[in-house]
Amino acid sequence: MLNDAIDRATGSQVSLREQTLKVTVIDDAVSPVVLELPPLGVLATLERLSIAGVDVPATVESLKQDVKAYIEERLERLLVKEERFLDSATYLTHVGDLAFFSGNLEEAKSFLERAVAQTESRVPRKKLAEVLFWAHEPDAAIAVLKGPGLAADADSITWQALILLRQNKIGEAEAMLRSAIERDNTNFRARMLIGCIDIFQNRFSSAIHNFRIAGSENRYTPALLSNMAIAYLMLRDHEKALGCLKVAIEESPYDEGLLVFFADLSARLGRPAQAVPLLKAHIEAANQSPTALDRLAHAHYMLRQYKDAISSLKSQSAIDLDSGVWNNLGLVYWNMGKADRAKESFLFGLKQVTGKRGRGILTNNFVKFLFENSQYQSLVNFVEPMLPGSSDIEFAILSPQSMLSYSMALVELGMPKRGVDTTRRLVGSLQRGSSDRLRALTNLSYLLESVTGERRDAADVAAQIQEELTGNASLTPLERLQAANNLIFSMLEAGNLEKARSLLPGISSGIHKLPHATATLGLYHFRKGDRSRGEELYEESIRMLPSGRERNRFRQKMYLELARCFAREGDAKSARRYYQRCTAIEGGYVTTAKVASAELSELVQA
Amino acid sequence: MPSVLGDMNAALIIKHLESMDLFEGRYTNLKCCSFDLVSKKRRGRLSIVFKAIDKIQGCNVAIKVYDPSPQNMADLYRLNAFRREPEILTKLLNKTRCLQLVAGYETFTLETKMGEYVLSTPVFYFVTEWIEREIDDFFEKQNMIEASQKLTLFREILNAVEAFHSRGVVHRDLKPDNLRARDLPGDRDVVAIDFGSGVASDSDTSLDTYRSNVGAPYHSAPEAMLGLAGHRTVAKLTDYYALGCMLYELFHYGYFLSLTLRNREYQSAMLLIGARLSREPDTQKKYLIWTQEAPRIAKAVRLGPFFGRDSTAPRSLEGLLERIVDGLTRFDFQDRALLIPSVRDLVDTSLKVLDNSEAQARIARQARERRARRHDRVAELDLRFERLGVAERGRRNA
Repeated sequence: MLNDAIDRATGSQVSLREQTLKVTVIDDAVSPVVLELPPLGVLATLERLSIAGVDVPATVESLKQDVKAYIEERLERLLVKEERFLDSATYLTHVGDLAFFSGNLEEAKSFLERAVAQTESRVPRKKLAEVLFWAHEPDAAIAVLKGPGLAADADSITWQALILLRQNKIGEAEAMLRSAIERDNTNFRARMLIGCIDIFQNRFSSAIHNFRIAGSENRYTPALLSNMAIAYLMLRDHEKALGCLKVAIEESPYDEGLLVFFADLSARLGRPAQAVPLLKAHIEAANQSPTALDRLAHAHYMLRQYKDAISSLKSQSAIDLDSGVWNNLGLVYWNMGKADRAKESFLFGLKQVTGKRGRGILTNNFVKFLFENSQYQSLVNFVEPMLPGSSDIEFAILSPQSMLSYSMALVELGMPKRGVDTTRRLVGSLQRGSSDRLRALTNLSYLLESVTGERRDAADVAAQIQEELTGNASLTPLERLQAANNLIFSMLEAGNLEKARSLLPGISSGIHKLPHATATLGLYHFRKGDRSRGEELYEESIRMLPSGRERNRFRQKMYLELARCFAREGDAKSARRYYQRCTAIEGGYVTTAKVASAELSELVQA
Repeated sequence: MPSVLGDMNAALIIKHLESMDLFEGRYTNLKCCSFDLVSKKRRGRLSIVFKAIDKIQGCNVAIKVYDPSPQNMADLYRLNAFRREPEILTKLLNKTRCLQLVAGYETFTLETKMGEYVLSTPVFYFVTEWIEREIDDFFEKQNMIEASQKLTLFREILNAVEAFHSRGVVHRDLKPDNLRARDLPGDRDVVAIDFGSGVASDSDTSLDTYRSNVGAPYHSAPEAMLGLAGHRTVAKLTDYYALGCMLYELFHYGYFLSLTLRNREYQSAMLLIGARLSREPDTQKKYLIWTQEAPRIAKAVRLGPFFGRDSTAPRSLEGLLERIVDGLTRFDFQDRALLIPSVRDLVDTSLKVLDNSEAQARIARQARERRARRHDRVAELDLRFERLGVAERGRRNA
């Protein structure tokens, strides 16, 4: 029975399919390079940003059978003419190129070497370097690109840098690119590539500078714009990142990686509607892509267009075996108030799930669902088999939030000691100063104060919260506000009005904006004796809440506090009326109702 | 590729035909020129070409025989296309710069003894004029040939294509191998041969359900590769695409195909639009889907610039040639706006530029100046960025 004023939710988690954005940096070079970007959710650290290569031989493998057959036939026909064109570099390059595309690297090498001997042109050299690279002779490839007349050639130096980059010699590649830019400061390839290295080395402004020059000197290609979007994103200039992505999608509307990136970013910026038409067009064209359907459902979910979200998820579930779709379906049904269907979806998803991450999201959402729907016994039955032993708790799958819900369910089922024990063990397992630990500590303080009556321990815990909160730089402003809010609530429940008042400035930015902070201020006014102000603030916080069940719980607490105020003022009739309302409210906490009943009988006896 | 059995049959027919005269003895001295009996290498999958002497006209002729291998006889589309070829050539009779038909579609029965039995096989053929001179030198030795000569050749190719287009015929398999040079007194004509993939613009599609590409993939336009080759409105534009490819190859070391195979955007666009078109068997509906979808998808595809440092074209011609190749090889056929007369004008202008050394020098000077201006502008931007970075670092340190 945690009070409403304590912020419980970290938000239910939507399960999104992972999608890597692949941006081709340069596609016509010796060894094309792709910048791989991890899904937006894990982008913050850039740990998974990697440079990978496009496998040209694999592209050849994927060629249509008739193209392949044609290349071989053409090659045969050309070979018949060898005597006629023995001295022609063009002929030798043609044969070499076709041999490369038919997978015969040795033959390709032999003809291209002869072509290189015949001409000073860069083309046969570039093609020979390409063949040597794929024949696992990168040093020979670089030597070819350093050939006569190419030492000062910016393109040739850039191709050498690409080969070095493919070998993960980033420093050497960068030095080479700088020398290419010295020779030709408008070279598109060199600017583009060095921009990518800048991103890799966290020099985002420099990356944008290089991309801008590359774009203005040639054209803003989708790849260039995607790279710019990445750099802007890392500089936290979300608007510009979104702008670049928009233009990139306009140029290349069916690049799924780009679209998903755009959808995720616009969702993060709270503008999911922007992605909806683009995703719909892509789904129509790309024959029902599950990833695009997933993002479309997410956008509809965020826009509270639940029917559209259900429709997308249903299409997705027909072609996608990922359990995430059932998690998302459960969440949408839950938000539509269809608890039975939500439960069925979660349970079906749990039967299907295979990966640890997917299981974690589904499990924690299901626990939250059971808690929110007051199905405490089901929650305990569901969670307990996942606890490996009495001494340790399996947190890998169950989030701290789920464990708190479990402990509160135990309290609601009349097992307060077990609830406190579980919370204590949870606190012990969490990192000092983390927002999860602060939330668990606040719960513990509340349970000790209001449920088990161990006031001394509760005071110690409150002191600990304050200590961990002071000077804690790891918390985001919202987490800090939530922690301060929870602490004030605990202080008010413990009757420490003065201490609570001194902490009130910590939640000032959330008052009239966030329901929990507004309700906490209302509670402060109730406790201070200002009944009408307290009621006014509580009513305001109730209006801010999205779900009916949460509103009922806030209202239950408000009735309890009103009853207490009237009781203190000696208006027994009104107090009795509010106590009765508190116990009769549908979907409220059992323990709050029990407290109200107890206080009502005391009042009657008095 | 033809099967081993197919090759055995072809060898049998060749041996038989080379030992006889055809058409009441009119065509003699038949020599196969599209199949090597020793190496079993062949040109063309479905027909065998013989060089013969026409006793009546007293000149060489080409006899094109349909390979009567069982799998070829079962391929109705190809058989129809073979029957259609002399019909198409009839439309080109007496048209200059066009291949001339000598004798239309004929059949003779090839009798082969199999032990006691005699096997009778119908063999279909038709006869055209023989044009000896190939023009592949211009392509395979492009780096050794003067730009003006290559442009003159391209102009002749344009004239040849315009000639059969004017009679409502579309070739759909234009490539250097299918072009020959006919020597005239003091002049030269380029003539397109092998109309096996050709079609008359006013004809019905022979088999609408036939969905594979028409023509050689390396000069096939995207729409032809994706099953739209049968659409009569599109067919002419695929010839334009092949013209663009050939002009590119006259001034480059690589094939145009090599460019498209390496371009990810091109390949992705092919996959995307291919997926859309594959759901629809009807050519007209495919065409409608293309007209709706391709403009968006094709936006991302950029194969050019074609005439940069890697081309063998004189720098003074880069701009003009770029316009031609870009205009003819756009991914979406709806964007191929250049018509043959405009292309010819641009080629003529290019030839005039080559003749005019002053103009060449002026264009080269202008290019140099543009480049220098760009270099200075970017150098200034670099400097400004560097100063900004130093100032920011200074502020941070302070």
